[in-house]
Amino acid sequence: MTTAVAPPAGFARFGAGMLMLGNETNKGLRVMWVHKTPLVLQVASLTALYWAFQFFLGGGRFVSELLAMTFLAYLAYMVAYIAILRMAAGVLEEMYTGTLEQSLLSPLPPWVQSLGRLAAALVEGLATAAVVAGFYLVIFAVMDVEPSFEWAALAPLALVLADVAGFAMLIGGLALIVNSIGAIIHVIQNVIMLVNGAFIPIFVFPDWLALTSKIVIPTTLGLDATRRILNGGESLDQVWSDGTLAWAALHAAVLLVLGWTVYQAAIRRGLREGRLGA
Amino acid sequence: MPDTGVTVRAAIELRGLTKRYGSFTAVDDVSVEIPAGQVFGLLGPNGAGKTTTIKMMAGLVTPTAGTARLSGHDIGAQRSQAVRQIGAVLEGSRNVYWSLSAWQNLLYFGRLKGLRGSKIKPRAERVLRDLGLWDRKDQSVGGFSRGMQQKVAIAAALVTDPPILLLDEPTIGLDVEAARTVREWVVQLARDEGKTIVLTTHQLAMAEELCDRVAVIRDGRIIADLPTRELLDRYVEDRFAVEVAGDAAAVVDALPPNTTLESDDGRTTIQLPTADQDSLHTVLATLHNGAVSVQGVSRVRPSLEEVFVKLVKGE
Repeated sequence: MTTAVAPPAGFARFGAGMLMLGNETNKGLRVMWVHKTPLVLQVASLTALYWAFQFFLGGGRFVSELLAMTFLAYLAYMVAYIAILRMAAGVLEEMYTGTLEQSLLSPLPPWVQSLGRLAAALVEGLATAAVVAGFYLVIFAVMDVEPSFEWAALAPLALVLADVAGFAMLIGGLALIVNSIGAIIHVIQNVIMLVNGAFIPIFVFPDWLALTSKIVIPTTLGLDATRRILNGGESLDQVWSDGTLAWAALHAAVLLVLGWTVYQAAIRRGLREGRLGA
Repeated sequence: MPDTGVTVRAAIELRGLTKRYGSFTAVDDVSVEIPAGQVFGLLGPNGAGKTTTIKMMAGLVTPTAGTARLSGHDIGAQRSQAVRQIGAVLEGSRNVYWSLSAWQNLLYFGRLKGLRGSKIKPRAERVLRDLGLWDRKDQSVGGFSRGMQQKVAIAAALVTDPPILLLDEPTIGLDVEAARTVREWVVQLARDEGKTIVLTTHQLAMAEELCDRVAVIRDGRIIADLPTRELLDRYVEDRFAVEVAGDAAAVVDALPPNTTLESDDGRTTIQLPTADQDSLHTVLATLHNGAVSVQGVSRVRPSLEEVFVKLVKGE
């Protein structure tokens, strides 16, 4: 008996898209779980890195104000680090093992799978950040560091996440067409860590560096708005009215569109050049 | 057969399929129609364009020119419908996720084609049982032998029960036992399930055994495309072979010059240098006089391998 699957239409097609998105995310998380040992090492090293940097920056002691102002930026860096790595390394591994071509035998367009891959990468990044955050919240409690929380900060934080998603998609697309992407990713991850405010708040940067970081580096704009709400006592209206939040939203939107476009273009080029397989 | 007025569409139609990489032409104007249920062998030396042709059929390489239709759906213009018609095992790649189990792989690839778990599971169970993998369905594929990994790749290609299977070197790197399992599966899929199968392989004995029809590709162009039997018949040589019992040692010296003898399993095949009737009668008389038992007389039929070598050498 032979039964080719009937093509869905309209709402059913949306449902099929969601099914596939869930399928891709589920696969990504299962593969991640299989490699849980390196994941544990990754969490440990990322936890220790922040501790060591803050220790050196504080001249041999921990500065509570600095911790409170940089910690969220460090968590954002971690999510970006993992999402970028998973998107690029994941897509390259699938290209070399031939599963990328198999996944392209799906009736839905490649961007649906790329969203699933991205969702899995973000879940891994957020889960890692949650573990590290849990650890440091205990440490902060012992050290009398009081990290503030405002519901209003969730809006710019959502933009930070969108920024990371767009940038990770962009790097995933570039991984398909740029041979030396590994070295490039390494540099990008370090630059994000150094200038997004993860170790030093960007308001102490020279103006040109702060401006460059806001324009070029993902997460910086949204994190600046978040810091002003959480540490500067400003309201969401204030960060919106001076344009900071709007710029952050525009930044995230541009990165999402750019990432999606580059990924699609990279897949089309790969199909044209026959280089998506082993 | 009466004309019913219904046109039976080929399962696979390739029209002028061409792929160029800069000045290099990998596939040049390939046109083939493969009816449903046929096992079609695409043979050729390394770099001839087999894999590129298969990948263009599957929509994994964009053609420079030409079209590929699967069950009537253009892989370029109607990709969504076209890819539903196929399952593929591609050469030189894992095809499945080694870090996942066989069961997880089949569920993933079934959902990838748009099926829900409740529809995939019975089919996945059947395929895994048939391939002898059911007892190890929850083990990571990375821990399997190469043959078992290839079985999982085939199972993943079959899990949605597609009418067309593209098998690019499916037995490469497999041991004898695993290769036999794959061969038996191909036969079963074609004969019992009526699937259309495109098979590329360097194992020409396997192609001869499995393929209803064979196309030979060289430098990107199809240089022969015939039913396997017809292709072999075309290369039937103009000389006789006489099969006798025993080793024929008693008459060896009396046979004509340039006669060759091959002994195997208590039988000897005597190949005469020509199809000359007089020579044949003389040899038969010699065998009769030497009390050698004649088992059969036939025209020399080449193997597909011999035909293939002649074709790619341009003979």
